[in-house]
Amino acid sequence: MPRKPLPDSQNFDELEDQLAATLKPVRPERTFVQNVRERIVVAAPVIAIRPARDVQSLLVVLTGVISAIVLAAVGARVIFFLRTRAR
Amino acid sequence: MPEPELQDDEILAQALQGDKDAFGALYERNVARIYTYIYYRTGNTSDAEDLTARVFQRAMHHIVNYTDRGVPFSAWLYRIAHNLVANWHRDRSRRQEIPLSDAPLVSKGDHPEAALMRTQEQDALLRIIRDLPADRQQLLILKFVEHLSNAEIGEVMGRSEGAVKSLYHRTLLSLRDEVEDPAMFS
Repeated sequence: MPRKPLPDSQNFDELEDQLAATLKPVRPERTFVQNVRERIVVAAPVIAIRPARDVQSLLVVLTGVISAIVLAAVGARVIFFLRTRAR
Repeated sequence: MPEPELQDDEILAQALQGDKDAFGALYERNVARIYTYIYYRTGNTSDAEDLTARVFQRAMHHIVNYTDRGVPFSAWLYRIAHNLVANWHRDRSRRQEIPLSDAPLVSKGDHPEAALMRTQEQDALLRIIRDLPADRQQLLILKFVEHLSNAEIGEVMGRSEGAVKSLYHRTLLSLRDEVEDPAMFS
Protein backbone atom coordinates (compact mmCIF):
# COMPACT_ATOMS: atom_id res chain seq x y z
CA MET A 1 0.00 0.00 0.00
CA PRO A 2 1.53 3.37 -0.98
CA ARG A 3 2.44 5.67 1.87
CA LYS A 4 -0.05 8.47 2.40
CA PRO A 5 1.67 11.81 1.73
CA LEU A 6 1.93 14.17 4.66
CA PRO A 7 -0.22 17.30 4.62
CA ASP A 8 1.52 20.33 3.12
CA SER A 9 2.03 21.91 6.53
CA GLN A 10 4.10 18.88 7.61
CA ASN A 11 5.99 18.12 4.41
CA PHE A 12 9.43 19.66 4.55
CA ASP A 13 11.22 17.37 2.09
CA GLU A 14 12.00 20.10 -0.43
CA LEU A 15 13.19 22.51 2.22
CA GLU A 16 15.33 19.83 3.85
CA ASP A 17 16.89 19.04 0.46
CA GLN A 18 17.69 22.72 0.01
CA LEU A 19 19.21 22.87 3.50
CA ALA A 20 21.31 19.78 2.85
CA ALA A 21 22.58 21.29 -0.39
CA THR A 22 23.38 24.63 1.27
CA LEU A 23 24.97 23.55 4.52
CA LYS A 24 28.05 21.57 3.48
CA PRO A 25 31.17 20.91 5.55
CA VAL A 26 34.09 23.25 4.86
CA ARG A 27 37.72 22.42 5.54
CA PRO A 28 40.12 24.78 7.25
CA GLU A 29 43.46 25.57 5.57
CA ARG A 30 46.13 22.96 6.30
CA THR A 31 48.62 25.64 7.37
CA PHE A 32 46.11 27.02 9.87
CA VAL A 33 45.50 23.55 11.32
CA GLN A 34 49.25 22.94 11.67
CA ASN A 35 49.95 26.36 13.22
CA VAL A 36 47.28 25.94 15.88
CA ARG A 37 48.43 22.40 16.64
CA GLU A 38 51.98 23.63 17.14
CA ARG A 39 50.74 26.41 19.43
CA ILE A 40 48.79 23.87 21.48
CA VAL A 41 51.55 21.28 21.76
CA VAL A 42 54.37 23.78 22.37
CA ALA A 43 52.34 25.98 24.74
CA ALA A 44 53.23 26.31 28.44
CA PRO A 45 52.33 23.33 30.62
CA VAL A 46 48.78 23.21 31.84
CA ILE A 47 48.51 24.22 35.48
CA ALA A 48 45.23 23.86 37.22
CA ILE A 49 44.59 27.01 39.21
CA ARG A 50 41.62 26.68 41.44
CA PRO A 51 40.05 30.02 42.34
CA ALA A 52 40.40 30.80 46.05
CA ARG A 53 37.18 30.69 47.98
CA ASP A 54 35.62 34.04 48.73
CA VAL A 55 35.98 33.60 52.51
CA GLN A 56 39.66 32.74 52.18
CA SER A 57 40.29 35.76 49.98
CA LEU A 58 38.45 38.01 52.42
CA LEU A 59 40.50 36.69 55.36
CA VAL A 60 43.77 37.34 53.52
CA VAL A 61 42.71 40.89 52.65
CA LEU A 62 41.49 41.58 56.21
CA THR A 63 44.73 40.25 57.70
CA GLY A 64 46.70 42.50 55.39
CA VAL A 65 44.64 45.58 56.25
CA ILE A 66 44.81 44.95 60.03
CA SER A 67 48.58 44.36 59.86
CA ALA A 68 49.02 47.64 57.98
CA ILE A 69 46.92 49.54 60.58
CA VAL A 70 48.89 48.02 63.48
CA LEU A 71 52.20 48.87 61.81
CA ALA A 72 51.07 52.46 61.17
CA ALA A 73 49.89 52.83 64.80
CA VAL A 74 53.18 51.47 66.20
CA GLY A 75 55.16 53.77 63.88
CA ALA A 76 53.10 56.82 64.92
CA ARG A 77 53.54 55.95 68.60
CA VAL A 78 57.32 55.61 68.21
CA ILE A 79 57.52 59.01 66.47
CA PHE A 80 55.31 60.60 69.16
CA PHE A 81 57.43 59.01 71.93
CA LEU A 82 60.70 60.20 70.40
CA ARG A 83 59.39 63.76 69.95
CA THR A 84 58.06 64.08 73.52
CA ARG A 85 61.32 62.62 74.87
CA ALA A 86 63.41 65.13 72.90
CA ARG A 87 61.54 68.00 74.58
CA MET B 1 51.93 -3.95 11.03
CA PRO B 2 50.43 -0.50 11.78
CA GLU B 3 49.31 0.23 15.32
CA PRO B 4 45.53 0.13 15.77
CA GLU B 5 44.04 3.61 15.98
CA LEU B 6 43.14 4.64 19.51
CA GLN B 7 39.53 5.31 20.36
CA ASP B 8 38.42 8.82 21.34
CA ASP B 9 37.90 7.87 24.98
CA GLU B 10 41.40 6.35 25.24
CA ILE B 11 42.98 9.48 23.79
CA LEU B 12 40.80 11.61 26.04
CA ALA B 13 41.97 9.67 29.10
CA GLN B 14 45.59 10.38 28.12
CA ALA B 15 44.81 14.05 27.45
CA LEU B 16 43.21 14.32 30.90
CA GLN B 17 46.53 13.14 32.38
CA GLY B 18 48.22 16.15 30.74
CA ASP B 19 49.49 14.37 27.63
CA LYS B 20 49.76 17.13 25.04
CA ASP B 21 50.22 14.81 22.11
CA ALA B 22 46.95 13.15 23.05
CA PHE B 23 45.27 16.55 23.13
CA GLY B 24 46.87 17.23 19.74
CA ALA B 25 45.25 14.07 18.43
CA LEU B 26 41.85 15.15 19.79
CA TYR B 27 42.40 18.49 18.13
CA GLU B 28 43.14 16.83 14.76
CA ARG B 29 39.98 14.77 15.02
CA ASN B 30 37.71 17.69 15.88
CA VAL B 31 39.17 20.80 14.29
CA ALA B 32 37.31 20.53 10.96
CA ARG B 33 33.87 20.15 12.54
CA ILE B 34 34.41 23.01 14.99
CA TYR B 35 35.77 25.19 12.20
CA THR B 36 32.75 24.39 9.99
CA TYR B 37 30.35 25.18 12.82
CA ILE B 38 32.01 28.52 13.53
CA TYR B 39 32.32 29.35 9.84
CA TYR B 40 28.57 29.03 9.34
CA ARG B 41 27.88 31.02 12.50
CA THR B 42 30.24 33.88 11.65
CA GLY B 43 30.19 33.84 7.85
CA ASN B 44 33.87 34.44 7.24
CA THR B 45 37.07 32.45 7.34
CA SER B 46 39.26 34.84 9.33
CA ASP B 47 36.90 34.95 12.32
CA ALA B 48 36.29 31.21 11.94
CA GLU B 49 40.04 30.58 12.20
CA ASP B 50 40.50 32.96 15.11
CA LEU B 51 37.59 31.52 17.10
CA THR B 52 38.50 27.92 16.26
CA ALA B 53 41.99 28.48 17.64
CA ARG B 54 40.48 30.02 20.77
CA VAL B 55 38.11 27.09 21.25
CA PHE B 56 41.01 24.63 21.38
CA GLN B 57 43.18 26.89 23.53
CA ARG B 58 40.34 27.24 26.00
CA ALA B 59 39.66 23.50 25.87
CA MET B 60 43.31 22.76 26.59
CA HIS B 61 43.40 25.09 29.58
CA HIS B 62 40.17 23.75 31.01
CA ILE B 63 40.56 20.08 30.22
CA VAL B 64 41.50 19.45 33.86
CA ASN B 65 37.93 20.44 34.73
CA TYR B 66 36.41 18.16 32.11
CA THR B 67 34.25 15.39 33.50
CA ASP B 68 33.16 12.50 31.32
CA ARG B 69 29.38 12.22 31.59
CA GLY B 70 29.05 9.84 28.69
CA VAL B 71 28.61 12.74 26.27
CA PRO B 72 31.02 12.86 23.30
CA PHE B 73 34.04 15.11 23.75
CA SER B 74 32.94 17.03 20.65
CA ALA B 75 29.77 18.09 22.50
CA TRP B 76 31.97 19.88 25.06
CA LEU B 77 33.91 21.56 22.24
CA TYR B 78 30.68 22.64 20.54
CA ARG B 79 29.54 24.25 23.78
CA ILE B 80 32.79 26.21 24.06
CA ALA B 81 32.44 27.22 20.40
CA HIS B 82 28.81 28.27 20.94
CA ASN B 83 29.79 30.50 23.88
CA LEU B 84 32.68 32.11 22.00
CA VAL B 85 30.49 32.75 18.95
CA ALA B 86 27.83 34.30 21.21
CA ASN B 87 30.47 36.63 22.69
CA TRP B 88 31.69 37.43 19.20
CA HIS B 89 28.18 38.40 18.07
CA ARG B 90 27.69 40.50 21.21
CA ASP B 91 30.97 42.37 20.67
CA ARG B 92 30.08 42.90 17.04
CA SER B 93 26.67 44.34 17.81
CA ARG B 94 28.24 46.66 20.39
CA ARG B 95 30.58 47.94 17.73
CA GLN B 96 27.53 48.39 15.47
CA GLU B 97 29.14 46.83 12.45
CA ILE B 98 27.22 45.73 9.36
CA PRO B 99 24.95 42.84 10.31
CA LEU B 100 25.80 39.50 8.71
CA SER B 101 22.52 39.44 6.85
CA ASP B 102 23.45 42.68 5.04
CA ALA B 103 27.02 41.72 4.37
CA PRO B 104 27.82 40.35 0.93
CA LEU B 105 27.86 36.57 1.11
CA VAL B 106 30.77 36.21 -1.31
CA SER B 107 33.17 38.46 0.49
CA LYS B 108 36.89 38.48 1.12
CA GLY B 109 36.36 36.29 4.14
CA ASP B 110 33.98 33.83 2.54
CA HIS B 111 35.17 30.28 2.16
CA PRO B 112 36.16 30.07 -1.53
CA GLU B 113 35.29 26.39 -1.81
CA ALA B 114 31.84 26.93 -0.31
CA ALA B 115 31.16 30.17 -2.19
CA LEU B 116 31.94 28.66 -5.59
CA MET B 117 29.60 25.75 -5.05
CA ARG B 118 26.60 27.83 -3.97
CA THR B 119 23.76 28.95 -6.21
CA GLN B 120 21.84 32.20 -5.76
CA GLU B 121 19.03 30.31 -4.05
CA GLN B 122 21.44 28.76 -1.61
CA ASP B 123 22.97 32.16 -0.90
CA ALA B 124 19.51 33.49 -0.15
CA LEU B 125 18.75 30.54 2.09
CA LEU B 126 22.03 31.02 3.92
CA ARG B 127 21.15 34.66 4.47
CA ILE B 128 17.82 33.63 6.00
CA ILE B 129 19.53 31.02 8.20
CA ARG B 130 21.95 33.64 9.51
CA ASP B 131 18.99 35.78 10.55
CA LEU B 132 17.58 32.98 12.70
CA PRO B 133 18.05 32.95 16.49
CA ALA B 134 21.35 31.38 17.59
CA ASP B 135 19.83 28.14 18.88
CA ARG B 136 18.06 27.50 15.58
CA GLN B 137 21.22 28.16 13.58
CA GLN B 138 23.11 25.80 15.86
CA LEU B 139 20.46 23.13 15.39
CA LEU B 140 20.51 23.37 11.58
CA ILE B 141 24.31 23.27 11.41
CA LEU B 142 24.54 20.25 13.70
CA LYS B 143 21.83 18.44 11.76
CA PHE B 144 22.79 19.19 8.18
CA VAL B 145 26.55 19.69 8.37
CA GLU B 146 27.41 17.25 11.14
CA HIS B 147 24.50 14.88 10.49
CA LEU B 148 23.91 14.47 14.23
CA SER B 149 20.74 12.82 15.48
CA ASN B 150 18.24 14.74 17.60
CA ALA B 151 19.55 12.94 20.70
CA GLU B 152 23.15 13.95 19.94
CA ILE B 153 22.09 17.53 19.21
CA GLY B 154 20.29 17.51 22.54
CA GLU B 155 23.55 16.54 24.27
CA VAL B 156 25.35 19.47 22.65
CA MET B 157 22.56 21.98 23.30
CA GLY B 158 21.66 20.71 26.76
CA ARG B 159 18.06 19.92 25.75
CA SER B 160 15.96 16.80 25.59
CA GLU B 161 15.52 14.91 22.33
CA GLY B 162 11.86 15.94 22.27
CA ALA B 163 12.74 19.61 22.76
CA VAL B 164 15.19 19.42 19.85
CA LYS B 165 12.57 17.76 17.64
CA SER B 166 10.07 20.46 18.50
CA LEU B 167 12.58 23.26 17.91
CA TYR B 168 13.50 21.71 14.57
CA HIS B 169 9.88 21.58 13.48
CA ARG B 170 9.31 25.22 14.44
CA THR B 171 12.50 26.20 12.66
CA LEU B 172 11.43 24.51 9.44
CA LEU B 173 8.01 26.14 9.62
CA SER B 174 9.47 29.62 10.00
CA LEU B 175 12.12 28.94 7.36
CA ARG B 176 9.55 27.76 4.88
CA ASP B 177 7.45 30.89 5.44
CA GLU B 178 10.47 33.00 4.62
CA VAL B 179 11.53 30.90 1.65
CA GLU B 180 8.03 31.15 0.20
CA ASP B 181 8.06 34.92 0.65
CA PRO B 182 9.43 36.27 -2.66
CA ALA B 183 10.52 39.50 -0.98
CA MET B 184 12.72 37.60 1.45
CA PHE B 185 13.93 34.82 -0.80
CA SER B 186 15.69 36.79 -3.50
